[in-house]
Amino acid sequence: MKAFIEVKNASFKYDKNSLKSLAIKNINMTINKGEFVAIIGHNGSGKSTLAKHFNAILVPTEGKVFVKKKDTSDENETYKIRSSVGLVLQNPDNQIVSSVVEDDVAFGPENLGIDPDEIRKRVDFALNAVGIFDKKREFVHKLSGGQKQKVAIASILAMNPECLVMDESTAMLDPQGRKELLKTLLDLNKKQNITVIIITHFMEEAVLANKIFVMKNGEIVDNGDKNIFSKLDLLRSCNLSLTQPMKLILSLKKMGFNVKGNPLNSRECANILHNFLKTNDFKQK
Amino acid sequence: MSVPIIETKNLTYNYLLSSNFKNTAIKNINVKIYPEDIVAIIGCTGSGKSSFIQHLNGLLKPSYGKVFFNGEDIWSNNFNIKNLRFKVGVVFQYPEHQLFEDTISKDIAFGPKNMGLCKEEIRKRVEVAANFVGLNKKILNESPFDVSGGEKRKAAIAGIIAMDPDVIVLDEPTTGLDPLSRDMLLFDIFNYHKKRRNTVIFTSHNMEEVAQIANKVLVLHHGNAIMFGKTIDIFSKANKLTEIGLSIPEITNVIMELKSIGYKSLPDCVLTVNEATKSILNLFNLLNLKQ
Repeated sequence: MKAFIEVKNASFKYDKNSLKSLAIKNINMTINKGEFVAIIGHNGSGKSTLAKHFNAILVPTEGKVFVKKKDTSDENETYKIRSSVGLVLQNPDNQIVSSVVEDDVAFGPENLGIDPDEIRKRVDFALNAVGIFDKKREFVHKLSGGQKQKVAIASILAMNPECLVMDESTAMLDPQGRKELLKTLLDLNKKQNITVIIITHFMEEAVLANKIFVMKNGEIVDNGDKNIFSKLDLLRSCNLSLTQPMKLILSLKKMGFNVKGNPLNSRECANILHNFLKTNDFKQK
Repeated sequence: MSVPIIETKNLTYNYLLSSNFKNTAIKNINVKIYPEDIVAIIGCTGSGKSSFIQHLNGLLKPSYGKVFFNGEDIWSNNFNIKNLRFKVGVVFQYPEHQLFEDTISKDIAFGPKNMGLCKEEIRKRVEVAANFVGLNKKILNESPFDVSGGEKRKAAIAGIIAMDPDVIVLDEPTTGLDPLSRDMLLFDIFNYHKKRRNTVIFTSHNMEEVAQIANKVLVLHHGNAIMFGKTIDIFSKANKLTEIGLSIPEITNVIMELKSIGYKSLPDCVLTVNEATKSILNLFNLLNLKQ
């Protein structure tokens, strides 16, 4: 696999003169092209600071970050880096600039100096990709939170990025809005081969990723697969918790029942319990 | 039954009354909230949750219908609406954005100071409120801008608690908090309710936390109150909730799925992981499964 983002011994301090500790410390990570990555951690663990390093909004005080082998601290590359890595924030209202949906989506490509015909194509593609093509003439302020977040994503897609970084972008959404947004991200990842990095507190979202990084006090304490869900103590020490189905299976295990598996959702959990009941040889009362 | 602490009758609110773009935010809402309640308000973005909340302490005036506090119409001429704002404390979304003083304790003291309380009483109130939300004494003299997100949120909530309101209203109190901070805040809110016997009303998109602490749930959809009742009754209607873009807690779903596979003895609706564990154990018992 090809390394897309490489972080090498990166540390960052917001105020160089302050005695406060580093916001991120000695981070090493590699994100490959086409991966779906989750970064989880407590409030103030440095997740958002790290995210801002992925498209050169911040550059490390020490160490290096490379995006497609380009050094993010090289100002000549900033422009290229920002057009290949797009960042979506928690609150869509903070990054929407126009009052009509399609105008907002066209804003990015217009600023890149792209040909009007090409802009039209890109805007339509982006609106379709996130499923709000029918809303293109609507006022942004009339849309729901989830729809606005989709406009924010479409605006970034229109710039043809290779990677989307979502900084707690589902935090303000209702259940339906969140479900739709996650589906959109999975689709973009699978169909367009866009690298997706989500930053989240929600385990239900982290389980969708194929790589999960856990952050604590500015450091990466675990970079691995979904096995972190069996590292309960680690999660607890990071202010994180398991999903409810996982908690149920775990409490049954603790009581001495040999229930096997790690459910990613409620249906899997029900199936695990059903299989457990079927395969156990017990007498019906 | 006792007098409801808050009651709304045909509560309706239209934005932009005079223009052609009349927009109804909430329609004909009738609810009775009693002192002992913890009410959760759920609904999609734009369903009218925030508009509803802003009527409870008179920040919005109904276009039609009435709001009663302890049986009194809050918009009648002889009702003291300024006083109501001390009795119904509203904590808005992202309340930490409203912190402004140079120390946390001064920020918490802002409300009580405006109530005209004496210095000693203010000091006491700040201490009690900070204690309630689990803010460490040491940080009370720090700037509210130098502490973590969770602590900022707590400081902002303590500012409302310090007024000792009869009703505390919280608009999405846990949004943006990590799971542990969220659980701790919920625990604090629940304890506050238990100890002070104050009414709690909160909005949330997180069905799991609603199931954990609310005894009643109000469901808003396009400005209409489509359901209002006991938490367990509301979450039993999974289909109705998903139809309008809401959901039920994962754990409720696990037991419903199992039940639909054929384990008929399971309860229709469980609200917490503990309840689910118990009902699974009952099922094992029933099937004579040995540990």
